[in-house]
Amino acid sequence: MSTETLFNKVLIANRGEIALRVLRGLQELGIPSVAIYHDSDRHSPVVRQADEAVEIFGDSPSAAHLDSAQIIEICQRLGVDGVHPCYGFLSENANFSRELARNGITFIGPSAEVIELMGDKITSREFVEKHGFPVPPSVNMAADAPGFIDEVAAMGFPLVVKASAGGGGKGMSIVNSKDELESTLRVAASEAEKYFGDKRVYVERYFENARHIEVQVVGDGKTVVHLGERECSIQRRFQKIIEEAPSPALDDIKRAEICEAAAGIARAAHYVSAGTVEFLYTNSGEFFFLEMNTRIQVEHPVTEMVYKVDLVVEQLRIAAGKPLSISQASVVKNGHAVECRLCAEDAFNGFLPETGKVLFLKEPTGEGVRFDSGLYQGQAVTTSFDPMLAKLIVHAPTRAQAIAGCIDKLRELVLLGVNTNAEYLIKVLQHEAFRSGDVDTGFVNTYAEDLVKDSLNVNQQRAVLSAAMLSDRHIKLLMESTPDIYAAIGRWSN
Amino acid sequence: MQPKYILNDNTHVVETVRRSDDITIEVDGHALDARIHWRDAHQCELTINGVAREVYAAQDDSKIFLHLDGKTFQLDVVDEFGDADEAGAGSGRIKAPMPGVMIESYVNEGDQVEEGQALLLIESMKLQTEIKASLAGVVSKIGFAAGASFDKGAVLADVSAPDDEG
Repeated sequence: MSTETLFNKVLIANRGEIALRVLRGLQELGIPSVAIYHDSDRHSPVVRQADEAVEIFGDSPSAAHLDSAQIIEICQRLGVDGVHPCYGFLSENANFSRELARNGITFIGPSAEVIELMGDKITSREFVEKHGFPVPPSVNMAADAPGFIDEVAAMGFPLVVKASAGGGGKGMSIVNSKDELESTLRVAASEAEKYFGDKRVYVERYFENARHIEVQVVGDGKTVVHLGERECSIQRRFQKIIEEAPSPALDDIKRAEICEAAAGIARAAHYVSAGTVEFLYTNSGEFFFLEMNTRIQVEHPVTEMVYKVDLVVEQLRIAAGKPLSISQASVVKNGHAVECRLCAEDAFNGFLPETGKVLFLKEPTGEGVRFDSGLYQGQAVTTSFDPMLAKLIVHAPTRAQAIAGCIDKLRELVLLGVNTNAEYLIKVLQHEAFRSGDVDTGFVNTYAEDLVKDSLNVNQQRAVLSAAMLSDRHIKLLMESTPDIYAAIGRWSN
Repeated sequence: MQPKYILNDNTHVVETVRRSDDITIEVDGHALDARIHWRDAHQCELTINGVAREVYAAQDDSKIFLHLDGKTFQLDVVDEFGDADEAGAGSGRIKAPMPGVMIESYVNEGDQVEEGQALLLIESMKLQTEIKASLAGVVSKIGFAAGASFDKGAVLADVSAPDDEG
């Protein structure tokens, strides 16, 4: 595609589906690639497919991926001049970005200053408010200041306590009464310190029936373009499981308003690279800034499919100093896309994590179907990493068709050896409230009674049990070793 | 022998009662006509009482995973060749799942064997079956000489794993 040299070599500082996704972008641009892997990922597709692959070491797989010194040493050794952090791990670590810069290596993302500004919930809120964009009612005085509790309680309940340095749904708790407030604040501060090394928390009004709507932006330092919104209200434990674009809640006027607000926030920050501005959208049509994620997001494919844009390619071009290849006028919304996150978990039993081994995998295919996965046969699924295994994205002319396509493809997907939430996702997609677009972040709890496992009818149960017996290794062995003459006599156990 | 499977926390008995072109199966005492055609190691067409289904199957020790009718099912095999129950996980002890007769022993006590290596040939309920080592190690015991009969639960063989070098 490109004859210009953007980078000599780019290291992908991640694993799983997103590492493979970024590798596709590098291949598209003809940029040599380096994968890094912990021993447990030795046989993963990105390790086999990248031009080079280097093992990284650490007390745990995650610790290895967070070891910036080790990664920078690999960059120097192999002549890497760009690092794509993907999401998670070092993707929003300003010090990593600075350390790379000191070594003449480009961090493929926004500047360290913007990562810091947006990475702190208090400073980002203040920044957004100062530039005239709406933020939720909140109290952000020090928790030990006199009158804090009264001030907070005066906002009304429920409230949400957030770790200032938290994000991605981690470090949040809901408070329903003044009685709970003091202990929640204490626990939240101690957790915030433990997980984020920063004990500051702040408290804001919690909107129970609100939607989570976010806007994709991409900027090159001079221009910011938005790529519409994503509706991400279907969440469990504050983690998204189904996302779609566009949101069924917005009309064109509201869409323009919220997307312009997001682009305005990114412009105020002189934003470079791809980023996401998250909003809370109330059922009365108000919206408030929640946070800005300064990275490529898990759910970026729904935007890519609706706008026919390659966000990773844009990130790589911009990081190499090129201007945006798109303009606000050139991007056109097209159809509807729905993404389902396939997770190793017992969704019908408190979303408890599941482990296992991928014994057999058949990925769904078809027109408008994208299956972003780093799965491979023989892979051990452990609790070392996030439970998300893969993403299924279906694009279709209408929302109803995209939903029907997702259901169809979730049924077509065969993954044996580890239990997933596929059946649960189907239950959500089939739910009348979801189909009508009537969703909010409480959906999973509100409809918990509907989102239960279907019981098997007796014929299905007999088919399952017969299939189990006939595929049981021991039984197959017995049947193969039994001369037909005995088998034909009748009951084996007479 | 009565194979048993645990599906959704309930134990079911699934038995083959007759086999010619079709197989007659009893599920919890209910007879079904089944026909199975394996396309490859993991995929088959299963016809039960005339209704055909595409089935994907895989097994990991005592867990069987199936995909049919657009859903995935996990079943636990109630392991009557149980080596895990009494002697503990990782044991190489092999117990008789049912009464039978020792036909042949392929190995002798003291032999070094690999995991999956065939150790014995037994016959039970008119079925001959090979018994394989569940782990690599040394054969510490062969329970019965050729021709001897054994009761259900008898120890047919013991394979001891090499001493832990840790």
